[in-house]
Amino acid sequence: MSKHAIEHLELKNLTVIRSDLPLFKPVDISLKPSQAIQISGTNGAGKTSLLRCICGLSQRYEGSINWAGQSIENCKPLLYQELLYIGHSLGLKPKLTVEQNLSFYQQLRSNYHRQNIIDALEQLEIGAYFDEYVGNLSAGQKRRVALARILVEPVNFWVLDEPMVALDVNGQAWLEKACNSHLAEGGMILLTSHQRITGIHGLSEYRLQEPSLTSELFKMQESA
Amino acid sequence: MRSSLNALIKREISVVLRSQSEFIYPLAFFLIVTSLFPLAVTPDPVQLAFLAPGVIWVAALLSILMSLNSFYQLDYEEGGLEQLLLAGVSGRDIVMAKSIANWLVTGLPLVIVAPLIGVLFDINWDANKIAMLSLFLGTPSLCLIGSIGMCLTLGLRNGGVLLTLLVLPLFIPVLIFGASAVQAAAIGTNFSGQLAILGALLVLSIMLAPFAGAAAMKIAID
Repeated sequence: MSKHAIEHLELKNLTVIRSDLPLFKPVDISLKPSQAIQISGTNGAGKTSLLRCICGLSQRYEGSINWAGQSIENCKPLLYQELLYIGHSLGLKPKLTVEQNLSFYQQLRSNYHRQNIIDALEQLEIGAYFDEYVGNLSAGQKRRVALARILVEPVNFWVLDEPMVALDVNGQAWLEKACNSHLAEGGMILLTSHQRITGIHGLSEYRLQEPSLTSELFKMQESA
Repeated sequence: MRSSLNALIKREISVVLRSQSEFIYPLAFFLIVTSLFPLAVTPDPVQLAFLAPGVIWVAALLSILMSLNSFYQLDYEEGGLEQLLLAGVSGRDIVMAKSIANWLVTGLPLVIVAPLIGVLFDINWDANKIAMLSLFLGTPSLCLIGSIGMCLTLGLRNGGVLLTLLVLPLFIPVLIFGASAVQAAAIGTNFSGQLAILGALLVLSIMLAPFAGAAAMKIAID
């Protein structure tokens, strides 16, 4: 994975804008290969919005988001080759089977490897549900299916929004292990979580702070 | 990139075929509405043949309008659309794939059953063939134009009403030329002009709808 060595994420003076006001104090974050960062903050602090901006799904931000030295607006195809985002809505079709869902996403990136999917599901202890419709699974099982994508699609940069939600103790332990081996291979991980994650080596935490509105207003007045 | 378009069309079709009600509904609606007219209006063959083009086309238009929702709304809510964009599939390809799948599942069956309705309305075989041909040229445009409206109303709570208001005016040209082609064929005059315009509208919507839809989708997901 050494060819990814130059790829890194850099956020400069970045904040998410809602109704013309910043959601949190501007952040400066740099994420390099083999690093993992946990974004934390209160409910509504803007964690999910921040991740969606980094993925290029939302343009409601101020500041700059750079991938491999370029603004993400200019290098989306490059970014999307290496990015896997798993958010609150999992992007699984309840009317398709587990295998159909995973193989579809796999085909979009590379070629279909049935064995690869079987192995991933075995690792996640849901191997028996290979041909089950996703709509019939429990919330935790659905989350496991979505997380199986990190094994099925070999990409470098994982963006996981609350990946621990609905997972049982075994599932959480598995995810921590998977993150560790991903980091060991030079991968990058950006995740949000409300709970303390202790099992991922070298995970640094970044807490989103509420913006000091008075200073922001002052700035706006000055510029006006 | 072409392979992703194929994979996407296949997925869309298998999802819709899995929920039978969603693809049978528009077709059943078309059959019911058109077959009720002879019962409600008049059994007189001359008058029915006069009504037929309009009735067939209005019913086809409404059933396409009904079918649009199942291709977009759930995919948006379940996070499927954003995952497609993040996998590097362009918004244009998504709209194109969904429109093709929508036409194969809803439009094509309408084209196939149209002659049945033609027989029911006692229109002659020539007009019946033109009814099929005009639907064949017109319904894909409806699917494509509808996809623009669908992308604009993604995530809105009462999107359905707004969709109708947005999209119906754009449907009207297709409706007028489609129905008038069948009418011209029924009275034995030249209908090639109307068909040519339907073809032109189809080319126009193939060219423009994916761009407009992709732009609207980007705003909806933001």
